[in-house]
Amino acid sequence: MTDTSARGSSEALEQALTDLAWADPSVATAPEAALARLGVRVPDGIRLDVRVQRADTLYFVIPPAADDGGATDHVVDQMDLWGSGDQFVWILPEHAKVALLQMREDYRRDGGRNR
Amino acid sequence: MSGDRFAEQYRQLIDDPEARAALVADPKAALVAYFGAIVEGDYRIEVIEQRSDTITAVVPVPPAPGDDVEARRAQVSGRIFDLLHSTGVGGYLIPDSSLTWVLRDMTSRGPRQATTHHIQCRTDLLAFSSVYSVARTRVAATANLNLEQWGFRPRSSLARAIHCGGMPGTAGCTSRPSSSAPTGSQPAFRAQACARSSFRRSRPPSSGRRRSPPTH
Repeated sequence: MTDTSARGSSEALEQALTDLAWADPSVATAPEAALARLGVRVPDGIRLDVRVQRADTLYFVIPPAADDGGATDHVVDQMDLWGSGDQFVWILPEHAKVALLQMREDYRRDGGRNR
Repeated sequence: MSGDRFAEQYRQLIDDPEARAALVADPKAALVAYFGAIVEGDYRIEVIEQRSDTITAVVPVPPAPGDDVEARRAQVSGRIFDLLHSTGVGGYLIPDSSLTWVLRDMTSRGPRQATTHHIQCRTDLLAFSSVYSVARTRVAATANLNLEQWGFRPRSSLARAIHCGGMPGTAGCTSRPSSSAPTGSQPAFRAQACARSSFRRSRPPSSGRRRSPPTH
């Protein structure tokens, strides 16, 4: 697998996380620790879920439950992403975009330092 | 209220914690329970739950053993998709084209009960006696008129529900549409097909002439 330590902070967080997840299956079970290895801290109140896609698996994305912000007073927006196996996909609530931006910024500033 | 079966499924998954838990625990079994069947084969289905406190990172498929890692890395590099939702988005990530028809097969199915009913409708279609009666019943069901006074009587509960406009307590209605009763465009087509097939012509009045439809 790819030697992630050889790469600098000029690359994107997504690429670094991809390299790490491909090389180390434990990333999916301990994602916060994995990001810490990249010099990135997951903001407080945010949980990180990492999935490494498999070519033989359909990923069924479902909306939040009613008691977690899911709305039933209108039709749920729907999407299908074909060829997702070649893409890095972030799925997040709109209010968490600042947290994602912060993680990207952390990596741009500190990426590679802790690896 | 949408009649789209996927929209209805998402509504169920939002509202019904048990249905949601069942899907997460065993996605294939839950989808079979909902759609009646799904394509058999050596593939998996994994659920990604959107949560208000969770960011999910879905990483590209790794290179297969023996593949050129750098080539694969270059292939996926920079291909990033941000999916931000306010109250939720439903759908599928399809990593590989081999799964295309698994999903498309699901889109062509209705929920289990509707599928069962559809089969019943197809069976009933064989009982048609004339094109005339088909056309006549279809118009009557669409117009929500009292078919019985024309010499037709409903055979199925859904037909009766359609016959009565789906309104509970309507005179002459002894049943209501099931939970999968049609509410949108494509199920409504099924409903219409059921209406066509689920009314049959009674023996004509003793005069030998069928009474004319009422004029309004």
